Amino acid sequence: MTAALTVSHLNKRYDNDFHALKDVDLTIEPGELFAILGPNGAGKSTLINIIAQVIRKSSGSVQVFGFDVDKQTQLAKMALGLTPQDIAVDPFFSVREVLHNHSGYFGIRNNDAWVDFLLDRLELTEQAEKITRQLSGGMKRRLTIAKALVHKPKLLILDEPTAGVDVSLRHTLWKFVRELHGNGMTIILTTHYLEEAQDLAQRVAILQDGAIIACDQTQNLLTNFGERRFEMVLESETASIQMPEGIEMINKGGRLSGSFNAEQSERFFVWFSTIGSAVRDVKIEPARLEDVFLKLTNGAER
Amino acid sequence: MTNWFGTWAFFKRECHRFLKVWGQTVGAPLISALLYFAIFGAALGSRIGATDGVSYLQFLVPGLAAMGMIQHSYQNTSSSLVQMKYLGMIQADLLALPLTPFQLVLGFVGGAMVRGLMVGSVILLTSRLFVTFSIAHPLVLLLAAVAMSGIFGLFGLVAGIWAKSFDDVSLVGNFLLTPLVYLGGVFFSISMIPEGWRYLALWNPIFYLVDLFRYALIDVSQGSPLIALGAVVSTFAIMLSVAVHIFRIGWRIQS
Repeated sequence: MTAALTVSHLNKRYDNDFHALKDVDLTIEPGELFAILGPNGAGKSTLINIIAQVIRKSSGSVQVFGFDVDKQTQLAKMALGLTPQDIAVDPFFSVREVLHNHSGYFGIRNNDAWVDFLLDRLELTEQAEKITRQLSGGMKRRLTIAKALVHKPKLLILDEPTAGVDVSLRHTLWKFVRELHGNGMTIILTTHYLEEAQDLAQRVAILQDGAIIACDQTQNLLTNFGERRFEMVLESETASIQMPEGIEMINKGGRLSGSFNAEQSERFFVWFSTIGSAVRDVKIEPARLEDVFLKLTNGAER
Repeated sequence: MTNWFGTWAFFKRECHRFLKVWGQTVGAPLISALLYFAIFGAALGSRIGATDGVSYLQFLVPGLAAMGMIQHSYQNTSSSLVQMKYLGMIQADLLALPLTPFQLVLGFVGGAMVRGLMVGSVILLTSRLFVTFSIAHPLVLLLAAVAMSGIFGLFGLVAGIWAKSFDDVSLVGNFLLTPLVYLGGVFFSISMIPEGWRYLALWNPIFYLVDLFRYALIDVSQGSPLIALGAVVSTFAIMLSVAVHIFRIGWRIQS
């Protein structure tokens, strides 16, 4: 089966000689929901914009559903929908006109039914006849997402779609993204809200200084690099208990707290069963992608 | 795959863009044409006398129409592009579109041509209320009008891509285009100016455009219409390939 996206040996050097992407390789399978994470300036937007042909690459190759961006430029663009990080909408037209125009650019003549569907799912129906200038920031964000979808792209790219938007829109948006993904669309997203990425994405790539430093199933990253935090309250403040080897924890007046990784978990639970009677309350959190992210991106300093 | 429907949609967007603000894009040139007729027709025209064998007002009409077309086709593309830059539309609303550089240029310049032709027609129809004239060479007129709005649409396109702000676009308009237009024989015949200046006027490309336009409308010209027509059409072709090339290499709009 043709991959949804194949990026190989991709390099980008800007005119000021900034090496934004360093030999990036990435393959995304059809139907994946994939997150690209990384600190600011890591090269996420550069990568996405090269895939969407908004920025030129310096070397390497990019194929979108088998269409090479150098040889089948227009077909590659047709297969893809992009929501850029910065909100921009055509100020002369109404919401409906913008979507009608955009459908036209992609060669679609009669798109009313699909446009209505998009308006409905993104909760824009009431704003449909408004001139885009009159929309609030959140409404404009919805419109940029609808625009990226007018031609039913096989690959949808969302570059920080939830930056600066309220809770309700985030909820609407992720619900819709799950629906689209459920219908078979391949989706790439970037976000700084790591719990969103952990919730949504099956696979994650972490980009730092223009290179992919980790790329794996979200679950594998959590297992391999994640730590589970725990907190316990002991029956008595002065209870003395035997500490397990290799698991660091702090004891503050009968309150124990610390964390353990996947390797240590067996040891932790064996130990826990031996002190069960001395514990009044316990809280064990699942591993968080945020911790994995911080651990990997700060690796050099730790 | 050739996305001609997409090109058509992009061209329509360029037309709707200026029609939505028709007051300033089509209404304004109508007002300025009326003002010129008030000044030259009622106040000054009768003192100037016959020019190149026709009344001054008859001489003026083709010049005014040509001037309006040049200014407005330039404005349409240059302002469209600077607006796109200003609003951050270059990425998703230009570069990511599945259109070739040639198709994008076609859409832009098509919009400029429609605006130029509309402005030209409005000025000619208004003029007809004040001055009697008939169209001497309709086909030449059409060709010249299309090529002229095309050339300045393309010129505006290149200026818009080069420009970093609206200031840059008006800079080119005010310091290059307007002087060339005003000295290009819109308001006077070069036979009216001293010999030395006349030689200088012949270096002004807009002189030939206006001259051709005058030939097409009232059969008065100071140069050879055939050479002028050839020059106009080839200038259009050269400008077109320059504009397409600029889009292809992504000059100033694609990093």
